[in-house]
Amino acid sequence: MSTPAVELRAVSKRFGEVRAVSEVSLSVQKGEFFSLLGPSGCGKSTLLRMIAGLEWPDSGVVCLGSTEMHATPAHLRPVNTVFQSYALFPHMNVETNIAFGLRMKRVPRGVREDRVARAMETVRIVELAGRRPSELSGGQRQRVALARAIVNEPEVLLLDEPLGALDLQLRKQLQVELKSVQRKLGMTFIHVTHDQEEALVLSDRIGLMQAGRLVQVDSAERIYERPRSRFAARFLGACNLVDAVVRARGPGGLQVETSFGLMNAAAAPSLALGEGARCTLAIRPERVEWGLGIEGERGNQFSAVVEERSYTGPRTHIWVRSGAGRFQIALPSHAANRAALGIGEEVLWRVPPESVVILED
Amino acid sequence: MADCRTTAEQAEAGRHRCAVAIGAPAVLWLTVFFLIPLGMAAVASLLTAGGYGGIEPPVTAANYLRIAGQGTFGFAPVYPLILGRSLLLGLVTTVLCLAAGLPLAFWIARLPGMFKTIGLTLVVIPFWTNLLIRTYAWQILLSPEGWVTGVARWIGLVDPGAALYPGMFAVSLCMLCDFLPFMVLPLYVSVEKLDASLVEAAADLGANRWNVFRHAIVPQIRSGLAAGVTLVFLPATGQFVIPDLLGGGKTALLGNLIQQQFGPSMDWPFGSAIAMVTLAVVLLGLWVASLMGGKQGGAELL
Repeated sequence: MSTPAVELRAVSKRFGEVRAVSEVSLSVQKGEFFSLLGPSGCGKSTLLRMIAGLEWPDSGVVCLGSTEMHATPAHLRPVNTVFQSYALFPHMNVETNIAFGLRMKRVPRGVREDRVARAMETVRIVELAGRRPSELSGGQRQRVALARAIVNEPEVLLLDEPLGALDLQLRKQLQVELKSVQRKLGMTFIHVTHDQEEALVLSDRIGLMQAGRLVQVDSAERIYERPRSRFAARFLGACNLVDAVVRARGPGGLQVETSFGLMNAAAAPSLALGEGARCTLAIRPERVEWGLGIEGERGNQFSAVVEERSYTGPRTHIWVRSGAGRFQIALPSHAANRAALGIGEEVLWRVPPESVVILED
Repeated sequence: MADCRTTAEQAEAGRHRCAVAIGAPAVLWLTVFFLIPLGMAAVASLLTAGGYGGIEPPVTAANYLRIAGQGTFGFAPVYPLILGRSLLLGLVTTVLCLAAGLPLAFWIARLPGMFKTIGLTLVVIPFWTNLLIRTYAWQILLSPEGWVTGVARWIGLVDPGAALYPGMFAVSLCMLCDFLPFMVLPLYVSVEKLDASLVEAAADLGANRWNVFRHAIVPQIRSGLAAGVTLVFLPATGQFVIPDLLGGGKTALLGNLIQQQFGPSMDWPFGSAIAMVTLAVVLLGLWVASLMGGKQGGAELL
């Protein structure tokens, strides 16, 4: 494997009594789009700022490329940041803002102008060159901030909630553009967000953070499909969490007992759960199959009473009660309409064993 | 439609009347106590001094020629020297106040909550004492027996028996202490509002400390700098009590020159001419400073 673009080893940082980041180790590969995802206050921005050199770790090692850089001041690091507030210089126009980094590095004027022009083309703001930041909309400012960073061709581009201040429509549009810019430039992007959907859409890999710790690092698909903790399961989309007790271990997985009956789960072989052990199951609402006449050879089929249904456009969410548990099921709306089930009716639902995830906590 | 417009026009007229009513006292005040006296001084500067302090015809440029150095015994640049010395005093004071005031303003702005108020109060407290008393206090502190001189002698900065006063050092020190609040207060106001993310952005884009200061901090505190420089430079240029008391009274400055013309010399036209030239030089200086300070700063400076 080649040298990672960024490597963190046991990086910690406290602010007074608060442990903002504790013992985080992580390596991000060259050309990767990596997202740090977590609720606000989980330390993801602090971690990013330590890579940028805007914050100093109390302990641990920050490597950029193969060089240890945790003691190098920000202006000497080969990284650039897109700030949440954009932090555009109000007294400079768009072009001068974008040229700032190159000017600081004493890039000759001719080269500088070429690169600034190219960066403006990349983010499609050529016509804004002469404007001041105060004359720009939020989306335009965001593009200028991106251009100002990528024009320096940094080893790693850091993005601190770059789309956080924009409205939903614009955010979705810019997500697509951000991804395509990253692919075109082949640059390493490390992106901080609290928006799980944004992280899933953009990232090759996601690092999920909770209370200063990196709790799971996986590809977007894996982190959604195979959450390891209750926190991961709940933070990334809706999830049914079910308490269970292990009853038997088979070659294909575990048989567990829940409040509504026995259930088979295809467990990861690494999971060391003996008979009688307590565990938590995570089942995504859209993985639940539903309707009458499901033929399940291996069981995992239960009956339930419909308690609530809500239509959200593409999907209809249905809450059912099975035994002592309340369950959320998400169906494509056309399927839900066809089933035409009203509140209070009894139904059958089934979940394939491979869709039952056994959590580690 | 017509009704609407009438109402709008009435409202507009009402606002206009209101603006006139609010502005009138200030305009009247400035006219009576600033514009008219200024015009009188301008006229007086072109007339001739009569006996016993009178102002008489004929109209003459003699006062201005005298300032330019044309004396009874040929060319002698006495007055240009005085003007230059005064501007130098103003400049030195401004530079010293900037050098001391900028770090102080940043330091106070970074203090937690209540300590900011305490810091600002400490900056202002010297004002509660009369300027003359403060100046005499410096005389005592800087005299050969004063403890400041004692400490300086002990370190080896001053020869035994010598004093720090009178002299340029004493004058600069006292001027610095007197004018510092005029620099610190406006600077503090703009430093307080400083957007730290711009500082971080500049560093992130490869700016070293000096470039961060120049490109990310100075543009943000430009209005405070302009106000502070103006508030210090203008009165410091005309200041003459401190140089008189601490400089040994050997050097003539603009302030005491003008005072002399309206007092003992009873030459009001010449005094007016000096005042007019001083005004012109200072305005010129501010204009140049505003050109260097860029568009934004200039508007606030003038």
